[in-house]
Amino acid sequence: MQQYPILAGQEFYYIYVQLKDFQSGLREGPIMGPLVSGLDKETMQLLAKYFSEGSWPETDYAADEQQTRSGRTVIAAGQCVACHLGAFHGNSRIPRLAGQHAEYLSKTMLDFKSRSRNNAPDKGSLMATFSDEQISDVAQYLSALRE
Amino acid sequence: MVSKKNSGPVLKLFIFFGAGLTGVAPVSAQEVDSATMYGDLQTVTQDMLDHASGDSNNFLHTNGNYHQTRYYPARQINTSNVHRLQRAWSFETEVVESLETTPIIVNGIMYVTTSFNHVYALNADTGQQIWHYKHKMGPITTYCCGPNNRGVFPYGDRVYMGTLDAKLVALNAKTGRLEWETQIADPELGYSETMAPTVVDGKVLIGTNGGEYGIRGFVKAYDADTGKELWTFHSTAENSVGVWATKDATGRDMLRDIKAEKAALKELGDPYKTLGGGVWQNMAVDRETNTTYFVVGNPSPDLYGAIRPGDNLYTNSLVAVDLDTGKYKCHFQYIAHDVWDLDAVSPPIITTVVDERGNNVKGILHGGKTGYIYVHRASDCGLIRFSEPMVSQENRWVLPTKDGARMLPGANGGVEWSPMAIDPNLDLAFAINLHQPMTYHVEETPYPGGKLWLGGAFKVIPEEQQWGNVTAVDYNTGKIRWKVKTEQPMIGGILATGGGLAFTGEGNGWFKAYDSATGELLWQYKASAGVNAPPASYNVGGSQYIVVGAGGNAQLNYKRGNEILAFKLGN
Repeated sequence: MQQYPILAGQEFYYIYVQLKDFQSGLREGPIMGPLVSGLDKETMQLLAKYFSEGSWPETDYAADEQQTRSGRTVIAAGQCVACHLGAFHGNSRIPRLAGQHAEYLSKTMLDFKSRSRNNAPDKGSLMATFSDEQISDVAQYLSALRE
Repeated sequence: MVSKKNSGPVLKLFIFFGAGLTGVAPVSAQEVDSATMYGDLQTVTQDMLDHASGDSNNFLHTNGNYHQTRYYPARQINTSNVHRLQRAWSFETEVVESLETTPIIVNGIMYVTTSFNHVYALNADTGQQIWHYKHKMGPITTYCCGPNNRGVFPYGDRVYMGTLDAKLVALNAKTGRLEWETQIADPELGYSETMAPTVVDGKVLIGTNGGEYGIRGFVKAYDADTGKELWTFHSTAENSVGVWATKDATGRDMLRDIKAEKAALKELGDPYKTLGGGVWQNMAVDRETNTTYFVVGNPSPDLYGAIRPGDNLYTNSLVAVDLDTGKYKCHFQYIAHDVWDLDAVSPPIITTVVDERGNNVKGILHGGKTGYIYVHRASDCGLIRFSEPMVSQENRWVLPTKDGARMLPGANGGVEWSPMAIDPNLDLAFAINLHQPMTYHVEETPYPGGKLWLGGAFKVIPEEQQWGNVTAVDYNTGKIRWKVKTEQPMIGGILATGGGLAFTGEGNGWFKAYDSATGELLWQYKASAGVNAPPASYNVGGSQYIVVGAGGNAQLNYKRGNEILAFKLGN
């Protein structure tokens, strides 16, 4: 299970905000929290820079017809492209979702839904309007998006 | 009286510029160069800007002129020959993403912008690139609804642009070289710029985005030469409580719990510091009274109102301030304590209107996300009338709930940011609308420090059909004169011309010309991407052109592209 995200090629500012949120406890992370607890701002920015300058790796996720249809419905209902942009590559504080590990995407959205992840509160409000099945479908659909 | 008063200068300009008139011998742009009534015509003087409403060669303002009428006087392209309109040239930008730019044309040179703040100068006759400027974007941007930009404003020998990382930049109009830039506000806190500035008498006026992030909105004026800040008008008042209004501008009860709000006010204090109130679009300028009129957007957080008790002044309002000082003159609030994001975004228009007693007075028009056109007195911002609704009103104002309450209009409108146009000869205002049913979900959410702060969610209802319309409203009666249904919800803008035409585009790529008087479809062109930008018009070498961007739209996920399309009459 790939419950950890691809970071290489992720947006600089998104990574930096996540590190800050792990450090402050705004985002709970039993592993990441202690790891970043002693880091200063400059080090966190260097880490974010290092990962953001990497190349997004190839993955082989695929979505079937039903997952694609369902995923597109979720995206239209949630108006997701207004922030994540058309190719789901994100920008600045908005993370890239295209080609991300499906399991991680699904876990993240479910964590938002259950409010166990709280550092983007509106995501919780939005995810609460979708069923677990819809979340699984849209995760699969997003993971299969190529360039 | 405004439009009537303009008729004198208009006639004079036609004689000088001539080229836009049918039946008058065309005068080339080069010949016009020697007519120095307004300077060398490449340097944009205050005189040129003041007379833009009668200028059938240039397109100098985002919305046509300081009154923002989007009524272009040229009539070479008209109802009788528009069927011969054909593509003259197209230009592909480097950026394939939403295009919301209004092309600006100064004596044959066109300036367009793209998402992520690229600027191009083009030969308006051929589409050939003259220069290309890419803004060096900072690492932090926070914006809503796409990385859009709505264009530059020309003044003197410069063009001015606001940026996604909340800067104001001044470029040399001839070379595209950056002359100065200034940081307007902190993007980390949710501030960004997508609107074109408006420049008048050496002052660059610009508002801010950020109503979805808990900013404190404003309009600022900067010195056009130096970038030094001259004044700030905060669009959330330090005393934002207001009069505890229970009804909206149309008289409908908004179901506020005033008792609970008063208790919350005691406990929380005035919420003005994170109350939102972005000013997303250009301001109208009344040179006679030295007043600027603009509309203020939604309060933050959009849906969760309990944390921001009171009317939330001046959100969802028309506001007038003094041009020299930024000092408050008057306001009118459409929706007090909005919890639906049905705010005020489309730029206000100054024109002569008939008041309640049948007198011609200077008026202000605004097309609301509610789907109504509001008609105000310019003198005190007071409401004269509101139009028939242009879109279905269902369940308005049901309060948002945890599980979602269905309401029409949806949170994108009605009329979104799309500028309206008027035809003062027909007393008509033209607006483009969305019919997009949504559910409104609310959730208690404390201020998240610059992150998205809706206080819930808006959700499009996938099972329900969506569409749009183009509507012409008689602003002197409020009656709808004609309405044309479109396949998809409409976003972008509209242009009316002296040729009796109204031009607007759709998300499916159709760019259409309607008969302004009747709504009859007279011409259409299919672009390769959504046409969701406001059209403009100009004249070069004796030919009138219509120009528009076809880049689709991020907010409504219309097919993206990167084309600027210019049209003129064929044989």
